[in-house]
Amino acid sequence: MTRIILDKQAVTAPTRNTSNIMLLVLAALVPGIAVYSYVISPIVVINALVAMFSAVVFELLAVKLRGARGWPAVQDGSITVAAVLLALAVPPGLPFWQLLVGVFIMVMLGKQVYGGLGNNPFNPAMVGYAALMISFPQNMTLWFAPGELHSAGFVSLIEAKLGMGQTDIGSNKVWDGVTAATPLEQVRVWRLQSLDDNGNSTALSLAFSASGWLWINLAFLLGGLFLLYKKVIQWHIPVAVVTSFTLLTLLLGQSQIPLYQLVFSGALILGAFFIATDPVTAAASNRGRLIFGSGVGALTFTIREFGGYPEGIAFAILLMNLCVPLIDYLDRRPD
Amino acid sequence: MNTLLNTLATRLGFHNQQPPFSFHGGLPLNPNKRALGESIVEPPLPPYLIIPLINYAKQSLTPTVAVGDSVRRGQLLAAGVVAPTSGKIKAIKPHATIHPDTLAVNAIVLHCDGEDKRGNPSASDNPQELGGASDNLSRLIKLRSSGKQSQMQQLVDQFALSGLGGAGFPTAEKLLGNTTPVKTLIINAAECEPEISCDEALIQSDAIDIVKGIDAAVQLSQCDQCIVAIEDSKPAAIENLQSALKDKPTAAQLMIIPTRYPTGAESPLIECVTGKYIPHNQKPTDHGVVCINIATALALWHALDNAPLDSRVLSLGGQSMPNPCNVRVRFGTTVNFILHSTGNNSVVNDHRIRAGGPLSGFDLQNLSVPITAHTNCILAEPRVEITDAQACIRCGQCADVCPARLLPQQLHWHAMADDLNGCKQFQLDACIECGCCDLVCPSSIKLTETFRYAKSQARFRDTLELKAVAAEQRFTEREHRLEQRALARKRAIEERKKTIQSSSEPDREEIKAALARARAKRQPKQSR
Repeated sequence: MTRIILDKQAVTAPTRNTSNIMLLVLAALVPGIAVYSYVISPIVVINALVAMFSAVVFELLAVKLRGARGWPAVQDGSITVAAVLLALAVPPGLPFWQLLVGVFIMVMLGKQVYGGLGNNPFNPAMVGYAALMISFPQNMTLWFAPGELHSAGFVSLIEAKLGMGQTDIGSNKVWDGVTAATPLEQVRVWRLQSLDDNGNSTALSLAFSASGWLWINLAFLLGGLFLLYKKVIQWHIPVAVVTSFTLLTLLLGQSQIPLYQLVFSGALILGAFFIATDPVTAAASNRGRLIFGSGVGALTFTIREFGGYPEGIAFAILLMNLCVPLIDYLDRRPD
Repeated sequence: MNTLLNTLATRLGFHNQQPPFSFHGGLPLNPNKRALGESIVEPPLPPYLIIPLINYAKQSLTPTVAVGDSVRRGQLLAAGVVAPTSGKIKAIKPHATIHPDTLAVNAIVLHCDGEDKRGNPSASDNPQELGGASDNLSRLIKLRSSGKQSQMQQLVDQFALSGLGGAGFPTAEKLLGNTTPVKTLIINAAECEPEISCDEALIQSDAIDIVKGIDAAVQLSQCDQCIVAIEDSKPAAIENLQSALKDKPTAAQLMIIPTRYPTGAESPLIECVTGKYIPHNQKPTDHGVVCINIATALALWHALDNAPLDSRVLSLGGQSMPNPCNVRVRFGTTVNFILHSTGNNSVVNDHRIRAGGPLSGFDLQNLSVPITAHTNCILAEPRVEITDAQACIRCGQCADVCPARLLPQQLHWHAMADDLNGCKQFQLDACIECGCCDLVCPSSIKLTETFRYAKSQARFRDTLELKAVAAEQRFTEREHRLEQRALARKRAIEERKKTIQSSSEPDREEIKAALARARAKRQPKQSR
């Protein structure tokens, strides 16, 4: 078979390579990470770096084991993006060794077992997240309200995360009481206790916490809009996720928190713009993307409203990843 | 403000509501028409020509001449093939052709005598048949209206007309062989691919004859409207066409379409001009649309004027071509000869020579291949290192630019797995191999190459399937025949038994004696 090469020199067209795309995604995450570390704790930057570094090491190892050349696989940058997303999805206080377990599962079971980039049916970061959620449910639901971790001190936090020192994260020895960590957790607690608790101190701290999360999510939204502007992602998935979630909340939602706080808390914005839009595991056609995004939004609402977990977007994305081959088969041609 | 609104609308995916309509996908590319110069270069006649005996449907043709025959320019060599010059036929043998894999087909080797004598010896017997162009045109129209198909076909065969665009589909069939009435005749002067400017050069030099050809095509096709579509990046050609159209009143209208690759391909052009998207499994003629190339319209006029199609203009371009130009060459001239006779021989050894455009073409392995009606361009490019493709991340940029509205990322997945059924489900057949997806792929995947390969695999599998079906049919028919024969024999034996039983005593005696004689004869053989 003859190699038919295209003359890229002869024509001038926008050319962008995969590594550039991944760099743009990382750049788009920067404002979100910055606000996150200001509001919650700079420890999130350490988490991201640890996850990135370990992911690259695991990826090199796995590619070597598969008998392929390791460096090109790492160079495309996809695993770095996935690692940062995982680090942003887990609670900042998660011990380092547990984070490493998550990264290992993300690289190995989320991506490399299927044959590397482009072949994985599930979003690798969400595979890692789901494994952690099931394995370490206590630590994975231990969120802190804005400011709490600042008061604890950066060094002691790192010691705690390393499992050294006298502190243990799980048993709240460093911090007194974890109330109203995230608005979603509070919603869940309220729902479980069937409380209608308005106007007391919890609600006040909730408002404060919600505003912190609001800022973080607005920063992620800014990054997402940047990706849209750069045409790295299309509008279909994020719009579908947020729209279907909003519509279902308006129709069926029971919580007392205002809608904008529900949308801008938890990982809905991060998930809609950065995780669900992962092209490898999303539907291929524009119509398919709308279906995929609506499914993610609907499942997120369902899990948040009726499920046992405070946040549902990770499982929603994984479940919709499962439907992608079917969606792609049903919509074989874009119009 | 208006243009801003328009760009905004197209960016948001809204299509133009009046002609020229916008089509799905495509890319705005730099036209880069290096070959376009003052005039068309006419190189000398080559010492020999190689004429492949193959038609547009890749069926081989039977030559009507033999080795040693002397032929004149315009004489029929096979159905739809004429001699491009006068000379002697030296051989009929397989020869390499312009093809990604340098496929060899049976070809006539014609040694040119340099005299270039015209005329079909058989036709010159009754000279009144050779009328002028308008006579031929009115004769054709008369034959068509009176339904004399075979006579019309005979006349049309002498024109040797085939499309000068890309596919080389027989033009006469397009214009005359329609069952549904033609509503719109589109004359394709878009020439959207970078580097190619042969049609533009023709319009600049021959606009008056082109308009005559367009008029002939209008009359032959009996269309309601005729639209000449040309890209807005060719102001000189547009001006020439406009003044030529003003001088000769025809039904044809000029439509200036935006410069966007691949508007020159049939289905995007039809979408652009009529706003109708024709699915790949339907023919444009079913929708009353016929599309011919503008160079073909000129060739039609020349053919009506008793000069059958035997040459074309092609562009020599590319980064490394020392002397880019448009040349008029006879069919059968080798690429090597063209490069040498235009002062471009320096690129032969250390450059890539490419047939077809920068996007839709392919690299030649062998330069002694002859050009045919659909070779529109020869490029010389520096050798470059092929970059390794990265993994597909299904970003979908290929689907955004695909003019055939396919999902190349899905097709690629199936093609790489050799899943031909999957390819079929995602409509690989509709791929026009324009190369837009390759251009935008962030992972530098050679999608078009993969699709060409998968298509050839599918064709191969289809022929195998056809063969298997034919073999099965032959087998069952043979079984049936054998069965019938055995039955007939059985019946004959029974009948003879019956006649023997019913025969008289002396007859039986005779039979017994005959049997004994036969046994006696066989005896010595057995003992040996």
